[in-house]
Amino acid sequence: MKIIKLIVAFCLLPSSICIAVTDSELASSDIIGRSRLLATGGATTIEGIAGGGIVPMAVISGYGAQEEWGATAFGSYVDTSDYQLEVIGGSWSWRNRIELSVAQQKLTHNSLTVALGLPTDSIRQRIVSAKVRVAGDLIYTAIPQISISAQHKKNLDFFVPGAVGAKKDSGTDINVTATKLIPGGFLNRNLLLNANLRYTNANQTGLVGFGGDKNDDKEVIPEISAGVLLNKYWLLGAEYRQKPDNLSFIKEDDWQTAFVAWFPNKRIALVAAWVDLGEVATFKNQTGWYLSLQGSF
Amino acid sequence: MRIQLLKMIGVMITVLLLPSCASSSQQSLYDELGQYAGIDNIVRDLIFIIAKDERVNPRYKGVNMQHFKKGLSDYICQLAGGPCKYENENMKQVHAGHNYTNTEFNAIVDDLILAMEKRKIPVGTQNRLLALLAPAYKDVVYQ
Repeated sequence: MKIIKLIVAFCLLPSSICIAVTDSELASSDIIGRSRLLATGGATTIEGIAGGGIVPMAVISGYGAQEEWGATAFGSYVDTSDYQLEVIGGSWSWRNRIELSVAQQKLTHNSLTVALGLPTDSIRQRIVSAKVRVAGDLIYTAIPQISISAQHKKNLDFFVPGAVGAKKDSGTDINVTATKLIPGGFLNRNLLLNANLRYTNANQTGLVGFGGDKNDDKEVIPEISAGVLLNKYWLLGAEYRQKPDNLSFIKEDDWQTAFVAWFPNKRIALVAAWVDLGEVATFKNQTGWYLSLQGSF
Repeated sequence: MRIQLLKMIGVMITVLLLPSCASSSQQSLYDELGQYAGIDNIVRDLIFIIAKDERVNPRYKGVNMQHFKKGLSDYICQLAGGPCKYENENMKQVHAGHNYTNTEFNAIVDDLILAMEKRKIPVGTQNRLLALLAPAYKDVVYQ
């Protein structure tokens, strides 16, 4: 504090009148330990890693810069006509380099339970992920920020997935993700571009297990998203996630979302989205709403 | 069918290119920032914000702030297409040997945005300036 008091007297005017910053002004200044710009930590996907809603981004969660760390906690809810998904989880990030996260999902499938006379009405899954930023910076380098992540998924209620033909109750997705924020890139608004390649054999992200009778091998699947920052608080965007189609009994469609994200400050992010999940386990046209709240620490 | 598809692609390309055509006729960034006086005011407010920002203010200990203010204003003026000549050493030379961190660079950008907001600079103008300043990162950080 002493040093700061000493140095806050700046001589600015040509007439050499020194303007001092008062102690009260100093006292009112917040100590900010998370220095990356607002919104650059992204939101949290339904799988726990930083990104949009369904497509990961190369950004590291939270707002820690390369001499800092960060953490997040989140809760998300999706409601389509026949399914509801609840997710909670959190992440810890270190030096804008490494992100570790965990997410617990619970899919409620009452319609399916009624239609098939199932003894259960929900499927839970736990996802533990690690992401490393390997190159670039979201904003400050010519190349995009590039990250690699692994997501280990464990299906905790394998009865229904097994019954419809899924081969395994756990699997690991590998993602290679590139994300770029172009300042003023769209009508002088900041433009966010994102692409992910996922190596996976997960059915409906793993909620319906891994592999199947039609295809049991992992494949590389593209996912993309893009958005525009209206100002530093509001992001409008859309996502598209291609999906495997491993089970002959139940068809799996690609997913898409259109979202609005609000970053009122570095503590909170709120995302609302319209989602189109296509056909999910015999129920067609699963469209609905998505809400996600993230706290950053 | 194929011709219709080509026409549609043509229309889409035209729509996508329109904004960039429009932008070529828009006001120069220098004018949007309020010319030299406007830039000078932004930098002045930036200095006050930096003074209160504990992430970076220790770096300004003993720095001649008048010199810093003129240097940064001239630099921004020149970048923005104004009639100024930035006379100092280049970005790399100015920052060499200080090992400025990624955290500090982010903090200064944060503070600059605050200063521009205080001066009521529109978001689009802020973004245009940030787009010109961002490439300096490689010459400033960890040098």
